[in-house]
Order: sequence, then structure tokens, then C-alpha cells
Amino acid sequence: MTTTPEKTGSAGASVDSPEPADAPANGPRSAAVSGGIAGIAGGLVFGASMTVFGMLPTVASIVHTDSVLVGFVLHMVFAVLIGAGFGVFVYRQRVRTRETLFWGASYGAFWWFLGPQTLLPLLRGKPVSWDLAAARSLLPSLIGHVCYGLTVAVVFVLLRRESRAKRSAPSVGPVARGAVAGVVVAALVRVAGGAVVGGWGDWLLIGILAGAGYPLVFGGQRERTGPALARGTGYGFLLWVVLGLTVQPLLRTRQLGWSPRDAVALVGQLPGYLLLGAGAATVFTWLGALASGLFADDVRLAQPEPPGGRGLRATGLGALAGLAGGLVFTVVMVLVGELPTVARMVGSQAPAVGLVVHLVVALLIGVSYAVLFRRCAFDLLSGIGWGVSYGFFWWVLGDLTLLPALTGEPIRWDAAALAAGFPSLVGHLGYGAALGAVYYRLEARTNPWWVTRSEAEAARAVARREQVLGAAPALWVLVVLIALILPVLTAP
Amino acid sequence: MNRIRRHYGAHPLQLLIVLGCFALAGYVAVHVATNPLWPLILVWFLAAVIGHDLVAFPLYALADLVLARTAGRLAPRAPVPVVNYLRIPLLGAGLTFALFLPGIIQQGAFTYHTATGLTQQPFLGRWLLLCAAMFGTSAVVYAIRSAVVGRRLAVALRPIRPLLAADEQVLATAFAPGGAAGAVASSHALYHPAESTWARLPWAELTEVSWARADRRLLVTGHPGEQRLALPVADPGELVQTASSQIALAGLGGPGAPVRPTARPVGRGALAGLVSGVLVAAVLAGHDLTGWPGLLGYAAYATVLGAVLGAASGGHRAGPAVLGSGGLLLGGLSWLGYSLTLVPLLHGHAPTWSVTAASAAYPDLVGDVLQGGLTGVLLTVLLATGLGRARQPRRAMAAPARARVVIVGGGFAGVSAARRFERLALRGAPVDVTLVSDSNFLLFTPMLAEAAAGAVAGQHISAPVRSAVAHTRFRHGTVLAVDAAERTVALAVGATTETIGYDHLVLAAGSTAHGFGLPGVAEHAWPLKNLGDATRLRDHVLGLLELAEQEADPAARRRLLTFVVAGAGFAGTELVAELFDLVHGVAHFYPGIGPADPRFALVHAGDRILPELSAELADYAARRLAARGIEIRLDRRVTEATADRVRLDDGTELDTHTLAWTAGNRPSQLATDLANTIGAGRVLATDAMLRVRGLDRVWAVGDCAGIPDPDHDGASYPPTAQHALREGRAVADNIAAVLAGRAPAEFRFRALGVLVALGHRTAVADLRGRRFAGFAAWLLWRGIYLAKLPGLEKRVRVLLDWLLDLGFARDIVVTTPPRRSAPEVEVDAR
Repeated sequence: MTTTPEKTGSAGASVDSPEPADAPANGPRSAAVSGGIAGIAGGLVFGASMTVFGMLPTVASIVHTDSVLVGFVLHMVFAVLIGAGFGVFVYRQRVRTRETLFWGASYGAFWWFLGPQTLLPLLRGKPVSWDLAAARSLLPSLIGHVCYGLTVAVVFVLLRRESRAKRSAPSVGPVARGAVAGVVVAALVRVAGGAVVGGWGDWLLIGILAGAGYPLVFGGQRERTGPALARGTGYGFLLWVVLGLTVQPLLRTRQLGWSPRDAVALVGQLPGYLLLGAGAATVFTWLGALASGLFADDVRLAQPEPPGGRGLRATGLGALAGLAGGLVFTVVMVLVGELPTVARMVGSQAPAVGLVVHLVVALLIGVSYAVLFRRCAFDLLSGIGWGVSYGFFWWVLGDLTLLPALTGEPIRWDAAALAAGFPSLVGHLGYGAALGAVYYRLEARTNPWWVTRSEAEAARAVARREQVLGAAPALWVLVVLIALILPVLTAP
Repeated sequence: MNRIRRHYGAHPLQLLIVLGCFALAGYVAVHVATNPLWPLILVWFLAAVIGHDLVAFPLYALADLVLARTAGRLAPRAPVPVVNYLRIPLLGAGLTFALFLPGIIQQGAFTYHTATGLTQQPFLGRWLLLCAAMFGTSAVVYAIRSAVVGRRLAVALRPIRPLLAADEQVLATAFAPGGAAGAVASSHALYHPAESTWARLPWAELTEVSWARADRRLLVTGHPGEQRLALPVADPGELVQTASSQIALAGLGGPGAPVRPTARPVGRGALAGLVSGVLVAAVLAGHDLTGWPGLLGYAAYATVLGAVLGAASGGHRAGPAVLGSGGLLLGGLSWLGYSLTLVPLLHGHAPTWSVTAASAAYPDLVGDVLQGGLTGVLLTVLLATGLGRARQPRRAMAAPARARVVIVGGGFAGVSAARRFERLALRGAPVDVTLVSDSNFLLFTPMLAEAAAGAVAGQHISAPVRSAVAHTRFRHGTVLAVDAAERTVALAVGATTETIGYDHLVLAAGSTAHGFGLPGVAEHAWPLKNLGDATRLRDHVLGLLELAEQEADPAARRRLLTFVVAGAGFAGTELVAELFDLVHGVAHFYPGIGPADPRFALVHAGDRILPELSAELADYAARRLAARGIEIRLDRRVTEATADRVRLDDGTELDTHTLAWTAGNRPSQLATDLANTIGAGRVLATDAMLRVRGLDRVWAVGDCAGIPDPDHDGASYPPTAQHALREGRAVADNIAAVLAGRAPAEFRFRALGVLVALGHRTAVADLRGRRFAGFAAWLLWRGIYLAKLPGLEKRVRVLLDWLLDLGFARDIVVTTPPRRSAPEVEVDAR
């Protein structure tokens, strides 16, 4: 079992103790069994929604019947098999609630592509339905798959660890801190987004719930702001699915908001939820750091390495990487004619001015990336992953929110605005990928923090890597999938 | 011809070409001079010269460097080096591009059409054809030449083959008219003809392979015994290239040949991508979404993506979730890059990245997501089960053995070497580096005199070794002895002694003060070699000021306030100037000390101070010091020192309690001991590649090494920080080269310049022949040394020290007890 410095600093939070990797109970067979059992729970949740949306006869048509019961049985068989697959899929990962939740969501979303769009038609002897109209009609299935994945993940964690490992209840401090962070960010988002996210009362309540839920779900461990921000973005999407599309419609109309019509209508809330999740996670992290800095009397809780010379150098590298990403983005900017819009931020219409402003912004965001994500990537893939996640966040905050505000335009969060911003989203993702990749290369050349000089330090580096990246790949995938399915949600 | 060559210094043809160039330039100048636009032409010409020399030329050089390195890596064992067969067509392509450029970009299309009746459309295509022809011709010539050389090698080596061990390779061959004259094989043995038979020289290690152009011989030197063999060579060009590129592949040292990261993850990623691509393509084909050519293209696309995934993942054996996610991530990004961007471009449209376009490309998105995820999972299986491993050579599969490199010394040279090794390790050099030093910090010695005078805090001019080389194993201890035969060093850490083995040893143990055995010098002189010396000297001087302030006897006070510095090199000159500043800068704290009481003397054995500088600058420095009242005694040596007196060789005696000693240094005891064991005197003499002569796998750099300077008739490089830094880097490069099977390079460095601070706002500087003196030089001194300080933190702290120095007096806190009791005795005696 590895104990990391970060874990030592977890004040009053749930203690997640990963099991030894070589324990017999952690083998693939055992994980498959746990996953299969978790699949039953997930199947029941998903099955309920399928019943509501009348999708079970479609499943039953695989065996040439339209019986709902047969469809449900078949669905449960698939749910168990896919759940077992999930167990095998993640058995080498660290089994923690917070990590496995994202694995579950990503896994479910992937199965939406593989299951209803590909295998189901093939099993029914029909062509695969890889077109946007079919995909939009399958939106309830997408939400169902995500919920299925979340349920499987939670039950899997309970089966694998929660029943055996010690678990202390989260203390009031982090929860209160989360609630404060949530309500503050919710207020800001409500000011920015307006009524599209809901009334003040409802939205602030959602903010409190989201903020307080963050430490409850993910633990109150102290961590870097960058990974917290990326996780918060994913958390925001899950909040939209659970609260925006499920709980709120159920409370109001006693119906799920998963239908294509409802989902498209509610997609305007998505930026608000994304900002709420990211902001709450960030503010929660900062408040924790502030509390730790001001009130913790144990120096071990302080930041292990103050931002000194290496931090400054990292900032310089971030500027360089940001510029590289900005050049990639410039291609999109030029081809879609976005530069005059950017120039309006400084009261000009000239593309050249827009280019300068764009590159300066790219550089500044690169610097912020270096500050937030320094030492978070250990290979090219992880660099790209963090970069893409950060680029996506800046699409929501920058293109959808700050750019209209700074150019005097009203902030519009609706399907049409999201669709109009899709070229910019592509640019932001390209920017993020280039930023993350270039920054990783520069960091690897100047400060290879994973190259260690002793066994003890190597163990610490491994622990850090595991902790930082436990849920990170799932998070990156989730962020990319959110970005890529936006056309399904927003296409006219 | 030879006479012309002897007088002119080069081939006569070169003279002819130069004259031709001058004639052409003169012709152009005459014509331009008659043109009314000549000022404009001149401006353009100058701009072109500047643009070419400052912008284009560095780019050519960089491109050529990249090409040379890449070509060397692509085909390290090719019988004929490939680089020139790329360089020439590339050069041709570049030149013709410059010629064709106006046509390619269709500049002046209307004028061209009006003048010729033709369009500029064909320019691009013809330039491409021309390039293809050049590259094709080059490839054909290369293939023919490779075949010829390969054939010759095979024939020449036929008699040698029976003498080789089963797994032994011939790495270089020297050709004589009748066939092979000699060969170097991979087991560090050398064969050469003795009449009609072949003999084997059982050398333990080859140390040098060079080409003697004059007598057309290949010179091979080996250990032990520095045996040297000259092989006659018939084809010098080929041989030299062969020697430089291949002979060092013998692995002149190191445990096991280095193994570069293989293409395993890339290859397996490609395989995984191909399989998943075929599966997805089959789904697509079965439902006729695209045609078969498109499907094949898709399989190729998936293969590339898989290879990228393998490379990006670095071959880590991660779980299926991690690689599956990575594949999905790349799949999604490639959809953006290929389907939404490249495909419209290939169809001649600008990409719009709109939702409509994304909707149209939705099938590709599903395919890419599925294919990416599937590729990741398959790659996990391939990496975990070892499928696809069978065709890899066994050696490539072995984990690279890392050579143990021990660096002794934490000064400029040692830390610089360690830092370079860190960089090289990142690029795959198989090294495991341990740095041993008896001080845990890197001292910035150029500012030591300032520290001794309290102008900067001692800690601020020293950086912890652990932070300077954070990824190197650091041992804080003293190396007691080196056993070059067993390849071990004896390390004392605290009270314990242990033995550390090495494969390569880098000695950077520095130097110590040397009193030449003069009576009393070792006991009473204050050296200035390390931070402790500086701190003690500062505290000693301040302690004397405290005593002098309370001393009633003018003679005794005068003695207390007399400061003698022996040696007027950089250190001594800077020290006396800094001590002068210190004493007078804090004198206002001591009202009992009059401005005329302190006395400073600089004793030097030469006829002028600062012999490293030009006479003009040295004279300037001497005048400035003398103007302050510092006595400069030239052509004088210290012959004896006591607690309160210094005697010079002319019989003069200086009453003083302070003799600062910068008059002599010698290599550290460890280096001296090692040099004695091989009978090399006090200095560890190295060859130009920094290898200690007579010792196997021992390298020496810095002040403890005598490194021959080829530009100065074999005289050693001076022991300065700038040299030590470069030597450290060079030794790391050379060891890495040896481990990689390449030949180590000669160390050559021309000093950048010299900077000497002369105290208050004055300095002298000689930077590559440009001389500065006075305030400008002082600003240069501060600026350059501030920039050279190790680490930003230290730079900020020293800068703050200097800024505070502008507004506040120097600190007079004495933190260490006096080293000697002499002044106290005197006080007690009163």
C-alpha cells in the first residue's frame, strides 16, 4: 500500500485506501464477477428508463419478438455481460468512488456508440445506424448508458472495496467549504447565464448541492487546481445529466428529460453546469489551500515545493506552449473569420488586431496551464489529455461566456449558440491538444520530474502519478465525448 | 603547384575562384555605379547580405545539423554514410526552389503571360519532377555504391572471418591495395596482416581511432599500454567515414551496448490499429457506407493512429482502461483533424467545422471512436502478452544495462557534467550517475571575494547540489581513494567507509591552496578556496576591526589593520579590492579607527598584476588600486609568515595579522594521489578527449585536470569556471558517446573573456579582445555574473544584496569564533 504526501494532507476527508495490486481478490475474474453483479444494478436503472421510453421491444427484436419481458431479460443479460466487462476493464485501476465514477460514465458513453448504434442493428440484421438523426433519436439511450455506467461504477466500488476498507465519514469542514464554493460559483454563473439555468432559488440550491456533493463524492483531499478543474468540468456534465435532465424534470413533470426534444431544450443549461462544476471544484480547492495555508499548524500540510525558480521557468514554457497552441487555433480563426470578433475585445475590427489579441490570450492561457497543470503529464498522451480538457473548459468560459461579455454581446446559452460556437470548439480542442503536447515536451526536456534519483523518490513519483492519473484518462475521454456529441444535441 | 600551395596556403584553384569572384563583383560594381538607382541597389544588397548571413545561414546550418544527426541515426551501420546522398539533392531542391519560387507562387503572372504567352502553371509540377529526379539519381548512386562497398568488404573480410568469434562483428576495415589491411572487431581486438597471416592483438579496449592524412594510415590506439598501430589505407575517404561512423560501435566502454528504445510500442500500436481498423472497416463495408478503396484507406489510417497511440503511450504497460481511453481520445481528435479538416481540404474546400459539417461526418466519428477504443484495448493485450515480439531481435528486447558513472566533485565541472548526464539520460543514454562531493553545494567562486568582504551573503552565491541536479543520485561524503584496476572508489560518509563501483569515473575534485611549503604559510595564511574560507576571513577582518577600535597603541593598531594579500591573479586582486571596500565601508562603526589607519598590500611574484589580462588593463587596474593607497609589491615573494608578520624575499617585513593566500593552488589530494600512482606527477594529464592518460575509464575535468589545449601547443587549459563548465558538459557527452558506440570528441574551447572586479564601481574586462574598464566594466561584471549564478533564486538574492548595499552599510556581525588566538594573546598580554 502506498502512502502519498498528498494523502497525509487530507484533513477530515474520506480515506481511500487502494488495495494491493496483487491481492487475489483483485484479479480479473473476481473483478468480472463484481462487475457482473454491478451490471445487474445498472441494468435495472437503465431498464427502468427503457421501459419509460419503450425501447425494450427493440432489444427483443434481436430474437425476433417484440415482447417487453423478453427484451428486459435480454437487456439484463447484456447489462451483466457489459458490467463484467467493466470489471475487467478497470480492475487494474485504483478502485475509488471518485475515479470509478468517471470510468463508469465514459464506459457507458462508449457503449452508446458500440451498443445501440452498432451492435444492436447488426444483431437485428440491419445496417449500422451511424447518422446524426438516428443518434439524436437515441439520446435517451445515451443518457441511460451514462446512468448505467455511473450505477455500475458505484456498485462496483461498493462491492470491491467499500464493504471491506475503513471509511471515515467526511467531516463538516470540507462539505461546508464545498457548499460555500458551490453557492458562490452558482451566483456568478446565474449572473452570466441568466434565466436559462433556472430561477435564482433553484439554481443556488443546485449550487449548494453541487458544491457540498463534490467533497462527498470525490473526497476532500488536497490536490492541484488543474486536475480539480478538469474533474470539475466532468462533474458538471454528470450534474447536468443527473440534476438537469433527470431530477429536475422528475420533480416538475414527473417525467425524465431524456427525450431528444427535452435534451435539446435543456442543452442550454449545459454550459452553466459545466462552469458550476469546474468553478466549484476550483474554488473548493483554493479555499482548502487557503485554509491550509492560514490555519494548518503542521508544516507537512504546506505545499511541498513553493513556486520558485522552477515555477517561473514552467511559466515561461507555458507561454511558449500557449503560443504554439495559439498558432494551431489561428488556422481555425482565419478560416472561419473569427478574428474580427476577437478584435472587438479591444474595440477594433481589424483581423490583424484580432490575431494579436488572440495570440496574447493564447499565451496567457498557456501560462495558466503551466501554473495549473505543472508536473501533471508524464507522457505525451497525458499531456494531450490535460490540454484537451483545459481547451474545452476555455471554450465554455472563453468563447461562450467571456467573449460575448467583453465584446458587448449578450451571453447566449442555447442550442443555436452552441451550434454556432462549434468551429470555435474545434479550435479550442486543437489549441488544447497542441498546448498540452508542446508543454509536455518542453517540461520533459527541462524538468523531467519523473526521472528520479533514489528508490524512495521513485516510489513517491509513482504514487503521485497514480494519484494524479487515477481517473484522468476517463476524465479526458468524457470531456472529448461531451465535445463530440454536441452536434447531436445542437444540430438544427 | 606545391610551391604556389606553400606560399598561398591553399590549392591554386581556390585562388583562381577568389579572383574570379572579385572580377565578377568588380564588373557588377561598375555597372551598378552607372545606374541612377545605385543607392537603392546598395541598400537591397546590404539587406540581402544581412538577411542571408544572419537569418538564412543559421537556418541552413541548423537544417544540415539536423540532417546529419538524423541520417546517422537512421542508418548507423550502413557501409556508406547516407548523409551526403540526402544533402546534395536537398541542396539542389532548395536552390531550384529559390529559382522557381516566383513561378510557383505565380508572381507577376500577367507580365509573364504578356511577355511569353505562357502561364506559370507548370512551375510547381516541374520543380517537383526535378526534385524527384535529383533524389532518384541520388538513391540509385547510393544503391550502386553501397553494393560495391559491401562487395569489397565481404571479399576483404573473407580471410578474417575464421578468426572471429561466433557473435563477433567487424566494425571497420582498413583497405590496402591487395585487400583488407586490418580490421577492428567488436570484441575489442584488432587484426592486422603480418606477411600472409593475421595476428590478433588482445587489447582490452580501443581508445582512439584516427586518420593520418599525411601518410594515409589509420591509427588505432588501445589499452593497456597505449599500443598504437598504423594500418596502411588505400581508400582514405571511405575508410575515414567508415571509421568515424562505425568503429566506435565496438562500444569502447560500458557494460553492454546501449539499446535505444525500440519500435515495439509503435509497431504493436500499428498492429492493434490495423486489426481494429479492419474490423471497423468490415462493418462499414458490409453496409456499403464507403467503397473498398476507401476502406483500405481507412485501414491504413487506423494503422497510423495505432502507431501514434503506441508512441504517445510510451509503451507503458497500463491497464486496458488507460490505453482504451487514450485510443478513444486520439480517435476523437483525429476525427476533428481528418474528417472535419483534411477531408474538406482534399476535396478543395475550406473546412468550416460547422455543426452541419460535423453532422455529415458523424459516421466517421462513430467509426473513429470505436476504432480508437478498440485499438487501445488491443494494444493492452499485445503489450501484456508479448504478441508481436517474436520477430524482434533478442538483444533489442533486453532492458538496457545502465553504466554506472561516478562523478567526484561538486564544483562547476562536476555539477555541469551531472546536469548534462541528466539531459542525456532523457534522450536515452543508459547511465546511472552518482555525484560525490564533500560539500553539498555548488559554490559560485567568481563571487567568493565579494562574499569574503560581506558584499553578498555566502549562502547566496552557492546553490545546493541536490536542487542543481535534482535527478542525480548525490552522496555527501569524501572520496578517499580510487582503485582504477578494480574500478571502485572508497567513499567516507561520516564515520563509515564504503566502496562504490563504477564503469566510468569522472574526477572533478578541484584544487586546494598551495603554500609551497613556505614556513608559517600553512599555519597563518588565510586561503580563499571555499565558502568556509570566505566566511572565516570576513569574520577575522571584522574581529580585527573590533580589536583595533579598542587598541590604544598606534603600532599595534596599525598591525591589526594591515592586510596583506599574496598573489595578484584574479582572486588576489579582487580580494584586496574587496577587503579595502569592506574595511572602509564599515569604518564609521569604529570611531577609534582613523581613515589612514588601514593598510593594504598586494604582493606578487610577477612584474605586473593580473598576468591573465593584457598589459594595458593590468596597468589600469594597478593604477586604480594604487590610487586608493593599496601598496602593490611586484617581483616579490612571501618567504615566511608568522602570526603577526610576513617576510618577503627582499627581506622586507610587514607587520600584520592577516595574510590572505591566493598565490598558489594545486590539484586536490585525491587527484594528486592518483597521478602519483601512474607516475604522472601532481597533475592528472588527460588526452584531448578528457580521458586520464594511463588509466582505464577514468576521465578528469576542472581544476584537477591537465587538459591539453590544442591551440596553445599542448599547454593545459586554465582552471577557470567557464572552462570547467564546458569540460563538464564535454566529458558527459564523451562518456555518452562511448556508451553509444561512438567516438568521443576532442575538447576545444576558446575562453569567452575575463572579468575582474576592482572594488567600488570599478572593474576591468576583456571579452574576446574587446576591452572595458571602469564603471562600464563593473556593470558588465555584475550583469554577467548575476546571469551566471546558478538558479533564479540565487540571482534574486544576490540582486537584493546588491540593492540593499546601496542603502545600508555592510553587516558587521561576527558569527564564527576567531580561528587563531594571536590577537587575543596580544590583548591579554597588555
